[in-house]
Amino acid sequence: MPSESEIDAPGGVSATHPDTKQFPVYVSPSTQGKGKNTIRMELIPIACWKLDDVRFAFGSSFVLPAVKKEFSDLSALLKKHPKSPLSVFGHADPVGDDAFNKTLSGHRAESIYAVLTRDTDRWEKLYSSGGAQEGWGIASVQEMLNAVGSDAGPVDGVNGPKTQGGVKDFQKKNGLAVDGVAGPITREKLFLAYMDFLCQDKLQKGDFLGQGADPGGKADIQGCSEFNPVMVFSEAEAAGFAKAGNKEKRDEENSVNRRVLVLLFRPGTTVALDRWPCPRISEGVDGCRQRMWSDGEKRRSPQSVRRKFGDTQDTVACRFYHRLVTLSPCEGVPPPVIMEWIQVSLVEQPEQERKAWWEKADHGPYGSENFSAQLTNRTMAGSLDSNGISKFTSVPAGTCTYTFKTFFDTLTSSLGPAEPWPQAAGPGPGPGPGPGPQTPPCPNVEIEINNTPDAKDDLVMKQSDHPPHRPKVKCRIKALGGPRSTVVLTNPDGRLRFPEAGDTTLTLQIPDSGAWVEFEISGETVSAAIGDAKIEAHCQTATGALIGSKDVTVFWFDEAAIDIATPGSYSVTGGRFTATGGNAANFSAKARIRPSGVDCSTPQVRDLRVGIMQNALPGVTRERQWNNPAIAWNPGVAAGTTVDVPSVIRLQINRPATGNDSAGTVVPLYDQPGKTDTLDANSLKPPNGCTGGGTATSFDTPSTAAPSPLTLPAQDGAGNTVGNVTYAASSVQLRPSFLTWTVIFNIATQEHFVLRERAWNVTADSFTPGVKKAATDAADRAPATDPVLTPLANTQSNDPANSTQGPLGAATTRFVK
Amino acid sequence: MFQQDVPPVPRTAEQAAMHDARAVHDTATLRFQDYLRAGGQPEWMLARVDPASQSGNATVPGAALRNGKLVGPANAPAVIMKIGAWSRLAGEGTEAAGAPYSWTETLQEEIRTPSPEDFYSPFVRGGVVLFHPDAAQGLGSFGSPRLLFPDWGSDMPAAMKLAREYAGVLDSALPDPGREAKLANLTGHRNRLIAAAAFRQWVSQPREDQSVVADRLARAKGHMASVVVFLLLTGSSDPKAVEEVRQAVAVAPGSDVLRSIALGAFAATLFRGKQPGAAEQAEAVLSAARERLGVRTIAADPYLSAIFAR
Repeated sequence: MPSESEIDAPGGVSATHPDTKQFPVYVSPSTQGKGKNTIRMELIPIACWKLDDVRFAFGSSFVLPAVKKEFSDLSALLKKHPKSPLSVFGHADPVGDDAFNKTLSGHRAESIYAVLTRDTDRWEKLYSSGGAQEGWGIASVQEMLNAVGSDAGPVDGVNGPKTQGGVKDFQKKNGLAVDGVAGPITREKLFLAYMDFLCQDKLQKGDFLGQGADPGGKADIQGCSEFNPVMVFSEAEAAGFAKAGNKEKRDEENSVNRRVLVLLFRPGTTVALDRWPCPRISEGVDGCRQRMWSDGEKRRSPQSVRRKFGDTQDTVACRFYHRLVTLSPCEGVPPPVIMEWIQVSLVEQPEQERKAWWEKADHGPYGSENFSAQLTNRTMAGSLDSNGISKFTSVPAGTCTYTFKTFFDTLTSSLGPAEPWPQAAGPGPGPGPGPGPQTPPCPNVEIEINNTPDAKDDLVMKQSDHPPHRPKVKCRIKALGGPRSTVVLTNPDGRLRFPEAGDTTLTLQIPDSGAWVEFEISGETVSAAIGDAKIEAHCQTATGALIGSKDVTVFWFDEAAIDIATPGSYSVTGGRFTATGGNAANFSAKARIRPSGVDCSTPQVRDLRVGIMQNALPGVTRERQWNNPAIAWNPGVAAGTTVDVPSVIRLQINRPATGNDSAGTVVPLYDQPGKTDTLDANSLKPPNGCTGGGTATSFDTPSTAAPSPLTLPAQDGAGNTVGNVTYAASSVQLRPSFLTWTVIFNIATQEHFVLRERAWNVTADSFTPGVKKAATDAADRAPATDPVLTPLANTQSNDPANSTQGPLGAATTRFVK
Repeated sequence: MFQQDVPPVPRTAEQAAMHDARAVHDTATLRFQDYLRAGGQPEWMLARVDPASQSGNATVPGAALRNGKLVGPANAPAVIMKIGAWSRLAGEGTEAAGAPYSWTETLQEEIRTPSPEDFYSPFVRGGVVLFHPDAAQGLGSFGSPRLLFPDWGSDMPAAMKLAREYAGVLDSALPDPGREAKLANLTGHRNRLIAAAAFRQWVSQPREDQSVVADRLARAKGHMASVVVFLLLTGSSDPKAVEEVRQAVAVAPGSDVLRSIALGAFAATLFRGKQPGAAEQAEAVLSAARERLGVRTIAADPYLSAIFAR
């Protein structure tokens, strides 16, 4: 049933959202020169307007004339909420694939946006690209002509005389060349007239959330494909609808999912377009998928029973959209019940006295006594609970009469008109002081981190900047009895998010069934001690009554370091120019988990290891030179034959871009134990502070083939091969440079983030005397860059495309037979 | 069966040291099952490899020198030529007497873990090579190539028979009552290839009987002593193994023993295992051997100079 602020029209819904209060924003002065604090308003929709599928033809983005009624409702809504920026969201049903539905839902949203802004160009594009398949074409021309008073006859999609007559009539009325053809010029006028017919308001692009700043409509228009259904069939229904002959029924039942929603946001709300999560309507579904709940596929897929978003809040796959519409009447969410339950204790006495008094009167246990109550127009009955308390849920506002028949035969008491539960913070509901108004709106709640009651896994890892990485932990909350309620989760200490960077609070609808409602958290800043990050659950608003809380720890890594020792010296050893007497570089990576006391056996920690990553940096990494050419003439070469050859030949290996110094079985790390490409069995270690924790070690010895002569065929001026020229090697240079990181690596998910970095390099020529060792930066440092993962560095080095060879200088040597 | 006994000799002391280091590695890690056909019948060839003079030289396929320029295909990779001929010394299950060989290999500018072939290639420098004939091209035609000490080649025919006879002892996957005692005995077998295989098996697992290692360190001579040291430094699961080697350095009665130990340790620095600290342990043994041999002895011996030239 719609609320007072809600209009349920035949083709849609127009409604104001329940009020959602926000935390005050505390701002400290900027400490950096001219720096400024930036405060952005939280994105809170305050009203919504939904256009049902009935206002479009199936599979169509052409909006039918009957939508005039709903646009009228939107007009009223806009007047009620002046200066509220809008954003349009199109949705499709689950029939068809994601990509197709992304396009269709985007076109529908675009179609409505065009009406509101009188953007006839957009309609022309839809008309031209969508054509009859998307409900445009002659049928749409007929609809529009009839609507604007130029009779085009029945809407049959046939461009017959009647239709052409209607076109001529319209052309004549609008001062156009009269030819009966609805070409682009006529269509532009017709679109505009039809839009005016449909909608009395004309908005500017600046009236929308993205203010029309992005040509692709970012934040103004979204196509959500089929990711956000408000109703999902049960598995049995889905199977039945999949059978031949049931598709019409399926489409009919699915119509609730085919919709366009316009959300109105609080006046003054602006968004940063580069952070707006929805992809443009012209873009694919990848951006949508990135914002899905981790169980998004499950949410939007059939399960054992049919589910509706308004009842279960678990059908929408997109986290971002879910947050926007969690209170939206347009998506079927019932208005919150302000006064939801009453509990009445038998008498105003302490528990022990009450029980003694009851038993003295020769009564059985509380739970065996019955009561009945007339609550406005609703009769309720039940038994006292073991504390002598009777409880009524989902209480409508108004006067209640309470009748307790057993003890005093009939005890009647008027409870008076119900009042909203006070909004100030205070204890949750409990046994009331006696007959009288008791109107707590929210039950106490229970919160579980990592979806377990165990406290030891109430952990989340701090988000990382290198690379940007925000580990999320699933959590859940449920009501401990009581009615359905709106709960706002907050984190006063600021260490947590719900779960994205901007999500400092989270509003949830908690059902009265006691079912769990899932949410996610992430760690924004570190914990100084176990459990110092607190989730608070407040009733209705962020400042409402505290009805539950949970202590969480944001763990992190301290004492991180990457040490690089360079014991080896370069020399030619057999077939390699390599370091001997030790490796060119020995790596030692370490980190300690904080705060102390974190249980490393928990799922959030047990798969984390300290490891090593290394990138090879671009540039010339190897160079060879050969000189002193000597020729061996082929037999039979005529005396006097002359050959000119370069005096010096050079070969260079140029790494064109940074590469990951890794190997197939150990990527993305530099090294991993137990793999084919393992270098060091200690190359992954649990962090210090965990069982088995220690320093991860590995090593690197960049090398290259030892000097060897170069033999090339020599040709005379006519191109005849007359002999072989062999050059002596004169230089073999190693010049690779690297950036090496201590990383935290998750052996289960293969995710990584870096803690410290250090640069090192080798500059050595096999023909230069003296000790040649790798050189390393004096100390490690906080990461400034993220490791690249591809291509592999060795693949780059051995790729002929990155190799150049040719004469060095212009000098030549002449051989005369 | 053994047709010839004239091994090719590397031309320089440095090459000889690299040859011997690879031979230590290859004999210490030799697996007899690599030289069996699918049906279990022996198929192996022991060959003398004689490289051509230009083997090991670099070239650029398709390129040529003309009018003072290097002409040819763009981005042609530089390659190493491996050219020569091999001739049969012994074999089983194959009748070939020998053949020329010629192939090129990409000039590997960057390798994560250099292979023994990268440090010493018998196809460039010569040697006695055990291989499993294969239909593949290039180096692949020499299946599972192992560089053997030339005088160890004569052990191969008997070693193949003994390996079958003692399969239950040499293969830890097969149960065999009293296996450990038999394995201990095999570590001192006069067939050096069998003794090496047995010792590798012995040190791969923790043993209560410490006398076997001490005995082999004390009794093994020449290249066999090098193989024992190499296996203790790279393949032992016993952390005390390194200490045993250092003790052997300390009590070595003469420079010949120290020379053998040094070769084994040198091979371990080049072809180390994946145990943490293996390289450092091998270097430490080398340092200890250097001290005992003394600078003069090393300087007077080009072979030792090559081993200690770091």
